Amino acid sequence: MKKFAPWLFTVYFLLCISPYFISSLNSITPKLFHIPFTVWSVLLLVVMGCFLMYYLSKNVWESYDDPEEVQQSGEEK
Amino acid sequence: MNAHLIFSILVLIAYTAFSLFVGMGVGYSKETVSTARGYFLGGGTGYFILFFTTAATWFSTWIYMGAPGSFYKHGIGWVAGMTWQLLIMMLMGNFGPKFWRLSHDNGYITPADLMQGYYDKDGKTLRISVAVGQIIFCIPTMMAQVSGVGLAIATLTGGAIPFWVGCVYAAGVVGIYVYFGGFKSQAWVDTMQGIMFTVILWISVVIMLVQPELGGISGLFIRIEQLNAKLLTYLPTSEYWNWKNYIGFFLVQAMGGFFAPYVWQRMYAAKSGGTVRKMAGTLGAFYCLAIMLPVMLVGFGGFALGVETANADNILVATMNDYAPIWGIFVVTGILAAGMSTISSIVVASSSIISIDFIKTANPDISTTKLRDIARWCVLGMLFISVMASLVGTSGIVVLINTALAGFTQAFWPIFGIFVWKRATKEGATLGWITGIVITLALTLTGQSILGFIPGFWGFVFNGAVFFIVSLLTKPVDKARQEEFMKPLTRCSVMGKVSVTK
Repeated sequence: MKKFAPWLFTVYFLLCISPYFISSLNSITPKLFHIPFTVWSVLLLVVMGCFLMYYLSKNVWESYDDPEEVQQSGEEK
Repeated sequence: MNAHLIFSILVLIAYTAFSLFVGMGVGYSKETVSTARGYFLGGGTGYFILFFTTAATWFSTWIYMGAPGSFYKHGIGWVAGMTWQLLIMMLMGNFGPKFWRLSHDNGYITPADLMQGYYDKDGKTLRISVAVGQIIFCIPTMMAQVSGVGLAIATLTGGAIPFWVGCVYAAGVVGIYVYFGGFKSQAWVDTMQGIMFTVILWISVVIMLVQPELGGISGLFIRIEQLNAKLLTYLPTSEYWNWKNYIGFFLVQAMGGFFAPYVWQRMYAAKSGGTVRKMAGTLGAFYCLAIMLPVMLVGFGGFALGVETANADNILVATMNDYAPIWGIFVVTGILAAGMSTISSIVVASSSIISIDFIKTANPDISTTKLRDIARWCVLGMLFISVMASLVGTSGIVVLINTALAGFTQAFWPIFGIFVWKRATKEGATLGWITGIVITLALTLTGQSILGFIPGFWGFVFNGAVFFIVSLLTKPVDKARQEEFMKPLTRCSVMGKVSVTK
């Protein structure tokens, strides 16, 4: 998964700018509760991006914490 | 004196008293500021405070002025300001815990400490060029925020408190709690200010949406479509905010948002690498949905309500003046909170750069308490310079403000060389850094945008080109040095895995 993370982010970025290049994505319709497609689609994308960040923090990024230090600070408490 | 002015001044006094109470009471720790490291980075900041101090540092008066004004003027394409926030998180998640571990084990305080630690342990060239590059962008950024606060106070009081007094006020209040309490005090005040400006922003959104002309989110967009549907579509290259600016800003603003020394140092200041990792996983949602989403709604709301203002940056204040004048007082207080939280972070970061990268480099045997005392004077000195620069306000300073994040972005390649491309050399990193900054400044000063891309984008590209070419032509960092530098990371990476397996 570590190797895929930058690629997933690249896909996110490409999807963000795609309405500039794909005219059918640069459209007000279909609307969702009167919210234009250009608005709700990018918000959906951002929410998915936020989930990606959360997933990466839980499963991919390393903390570089020293388990002994963590244990020690826990005992001190 | 009318009732509105009296109430404005009372709110200002209450805000100031609360800031000083948090900074000098709750956030102050005599033990923490007894050493230079404690003064600059605190004593290990936990998740909650780190989360809000990072957010409050990153978001300045821009979220109340420039950003809503851009949605109001350029429409949905400006959602770039929301989408690029996640690139900051990608960088934070990848590099943040590494920065923390290396700082924890080697005592790094400034960004240049880390770069020099890898590329040139006993030299000074890279350190000095990085420090100079960062300082020339930090001070004008601070100046812009001081001006923003001065202007906000003059607006709040209808000119009863003039602009220059507002600037002195901003520097004076920040100066008090930063001088005594350093990073820790400032992080606590940031937290209070960050919560405050976010809540004020959301309440402003609600005030706009409940107006009978709009009647909620749906009404907001129906109205924009009726008035100017173009605002809801992405614009072609004939318009200012096109895909080239989107990409340029996405790259430059986001990288600057992580590599700015005042954000970078928050990685060092964390309680643990896990704290940084957790923050990187959750802060993006806060940046995008708790801050940039209301910013978008506020900008669109002002347009939908038909508020007209000569300067789009004032759209939020102008809308509140028309629809909720009393709440407008709190909106201006939100601007103060957003501006002062950024000023305090920059002043701590700048004083650490001057004290560590210049003074300690010239005098390595200086004691930690002496260094802290010098840093305190640097804090006062830089605030004084910022106030003076705000009052003079030359066009040269405006150029530096506009290119500040592009300047900070130039740190990407040296960091790439440390953690990814091991063939990188000290010469490549130094010359690339200098090239990036010179190109960015030169293109900005001459007003050129080659092929329609912003100057910072080209600074980044040329920096990368010089970094790779010069590195390939010069001697790479010694293998033993590389291994020694990475030892804390390899040790903890392996240990973490062993612990998980157990």
